[in-house]
Amino acid sequence: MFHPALWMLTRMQFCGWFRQFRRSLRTFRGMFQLTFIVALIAYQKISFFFAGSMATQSVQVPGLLESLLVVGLFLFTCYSMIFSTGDAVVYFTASEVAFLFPAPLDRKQLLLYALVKGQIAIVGISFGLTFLANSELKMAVPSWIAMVLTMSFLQLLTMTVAFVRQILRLKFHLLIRLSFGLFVGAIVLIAANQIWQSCSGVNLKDYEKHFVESTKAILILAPFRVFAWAIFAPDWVTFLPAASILLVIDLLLRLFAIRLDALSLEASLAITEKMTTRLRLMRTKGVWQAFGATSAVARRRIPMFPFWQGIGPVAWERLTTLFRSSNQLIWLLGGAVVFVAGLVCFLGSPWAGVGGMTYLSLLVSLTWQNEIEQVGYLKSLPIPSRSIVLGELIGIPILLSIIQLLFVTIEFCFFPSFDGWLLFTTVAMLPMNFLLFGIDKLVFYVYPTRLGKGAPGDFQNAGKQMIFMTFKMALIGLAISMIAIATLPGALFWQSPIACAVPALVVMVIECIALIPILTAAFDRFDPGMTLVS
Amino acid sequence: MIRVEGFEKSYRDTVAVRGLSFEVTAGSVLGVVGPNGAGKTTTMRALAGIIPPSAGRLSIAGHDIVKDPIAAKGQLAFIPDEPQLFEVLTVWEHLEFTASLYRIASFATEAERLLDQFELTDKRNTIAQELSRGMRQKVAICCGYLHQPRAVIFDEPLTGLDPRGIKTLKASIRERAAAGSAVMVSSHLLDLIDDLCSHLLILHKGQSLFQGTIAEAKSRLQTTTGDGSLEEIFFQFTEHSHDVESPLATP
Repeated sequence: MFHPALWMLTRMQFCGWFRQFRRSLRTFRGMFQLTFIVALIAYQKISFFFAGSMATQSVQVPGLLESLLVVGLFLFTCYSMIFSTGDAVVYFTASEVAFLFPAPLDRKQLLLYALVKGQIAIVGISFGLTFLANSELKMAVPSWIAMVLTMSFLQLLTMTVAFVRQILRLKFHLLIRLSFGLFVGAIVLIAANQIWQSCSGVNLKDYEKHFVESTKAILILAPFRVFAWAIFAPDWVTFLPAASILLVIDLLLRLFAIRLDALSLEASLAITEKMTTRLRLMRTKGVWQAFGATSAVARRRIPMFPFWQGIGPVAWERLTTLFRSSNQLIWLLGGAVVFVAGLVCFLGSPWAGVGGMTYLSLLVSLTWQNEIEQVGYLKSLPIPSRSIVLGELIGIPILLSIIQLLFVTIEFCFFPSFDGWLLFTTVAMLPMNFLLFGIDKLVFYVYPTRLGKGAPGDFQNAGKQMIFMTFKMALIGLAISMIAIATLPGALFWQSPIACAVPALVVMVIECIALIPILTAAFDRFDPGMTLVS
Repeated sequence: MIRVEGFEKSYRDTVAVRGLSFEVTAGSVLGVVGPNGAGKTTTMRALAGIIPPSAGRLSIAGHDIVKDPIAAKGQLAFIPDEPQLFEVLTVWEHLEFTASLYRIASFATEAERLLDQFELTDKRNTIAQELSRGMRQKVAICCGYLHQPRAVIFDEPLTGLDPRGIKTLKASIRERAAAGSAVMVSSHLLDLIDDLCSHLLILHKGQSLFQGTIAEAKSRLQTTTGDGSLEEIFFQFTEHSHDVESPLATP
């Protein structure tokens, strides 16, 4: 049933990636990258080993990971039932569409190929997860097999739900579809509500006792427990029956998915086109800019800013682009705020909010991608370089700072006693964001590179990214060290928070101001013609 | 060889192609022209079995692409506008894989000949990632030709090709047609259509405005406007479609 050419393609692609990998290892960057990854894994394993041996029994919660997995699987199932479109499951690359779709292969063969491809990825990911979580697992190999079966279940479930949706869309009237959707949605909501009621007001340590052992939870989560039994099985006697059940579930789902296949290939074609466009944008415009731009977003208008020596139009274009093309960023910021708010409530400490917001600044600034092509255009404008640099730079830090300020202000309402440092954090956010994005821009002008440029196995590009990131981190570290040094006299002589905060803020502002001429010089020196090819 | 009857394709509320019928006989080269969004690529993709038709019958060498897709696709080569290759596979591996896909037992001689024809012999062990746009296009064409298809569909075939590549491609298309294949070429380059094609299909908003031989199109337009260039024909049909449709529309 599986066409020999598809086996050949799978084998040749793996050989190709391996060939790329070997070629990359012959370069300094490739070696650097591999060494870095190995060192990172070794560090993780060693630190886990020592942390595990030092942890006391009171800190560890027995069975917590197991029950979290069960709840996680339940939540994922709920999510799939409501939202799954199957886009990410039956996905073909543009080259697969070009070669396989017009070739003499039937739908089942193509679907099977997509499933096998997914399965291979699952085997690899499960291996990585088993390796990383080895200390938590009783038996390595059975846990790996169980993880493969669990992830296959998730893949097949998403696919099956998507196919059912497609068939409903084809065969039934909108009203029947809506009724079915509402029925499923209602069941999921009732189940979710039961779980929420069971665990509301319970902290992580009491979670096991209050929630997982409740009758409602036992009933709702019963089908998902078998996955945890298999993954965390202490011996083969526990593992084998659980794994057998999982295998049967997966096989049934697989058969069901293949029989249900209605419009999967056409849907996958649409998603392929979307993904190809996204990849192209990622390679030319950057990661954040690759998501979500449609004509519908043209409604998001920002009034044109005053000229301000050219800063206004450049900043307006940047902010408009950000608003219109970065749905993902907006979702990330919104999600991060909700997550940090949850963390604050959970831990009962406003510092979690401050920490979370600082982390958000770092995350966005470190993953932000600059546009090489954009620099060529900007250089052609009749505007002074300094204005261009400022216009390019102020948009995102201001937006990020506004969100952070709103969050900290809300937090202040809940924790009125937490005043001094909260005030400092509030004031420091804008210069800190400006500094982080300014350093990112500076490194980009000196060493232009893009995250989404590489292909699988291309360690040279990955190595370039690593150097880029290391350089950026070093500069951020230097800037933060200077701020930290400025706080020393206040801490040593006056031991007052204000005496620490004021010099820190002053140094931060000085760094921001000093960054502008450096950035301007780097922008003037930047040659898009020399860097477009790289 | 290529037959389309009452083809329709709609995406939710949008109708991309409606009631399209035409035929490409063995040995002829059909040029498909039309403004952006006319339905050219949709028609070609449906013929290649990439997207299913909403209505109508599409067949390749007598095999229905929906009812008997394997047999239909076995006789067809579709070369898309953007050459999508497997980035980590070499040029030769692409040909090897294509041969396996179409179950060609001994492909090496033909593959060598195609590589030589399209000046890719020295690139045979180069991975796709390292090829230029034009070379990628040539690889896609070689893969398309490898199984000696009886129907060949090109979507914007000249993009990225150098003058030598263009000359080779044109010659190869003529060769295929002379050998009895039906060839369909979609392009915005009207000179290419004029130079290469025996027949013309003008699409506009998913409908056929004209179909017939190039000579017919020229002679019909000469009677109404006195000018017979393909460019003039194109603009007459697409920009004044309501005026010219009735006198020139073909049955």
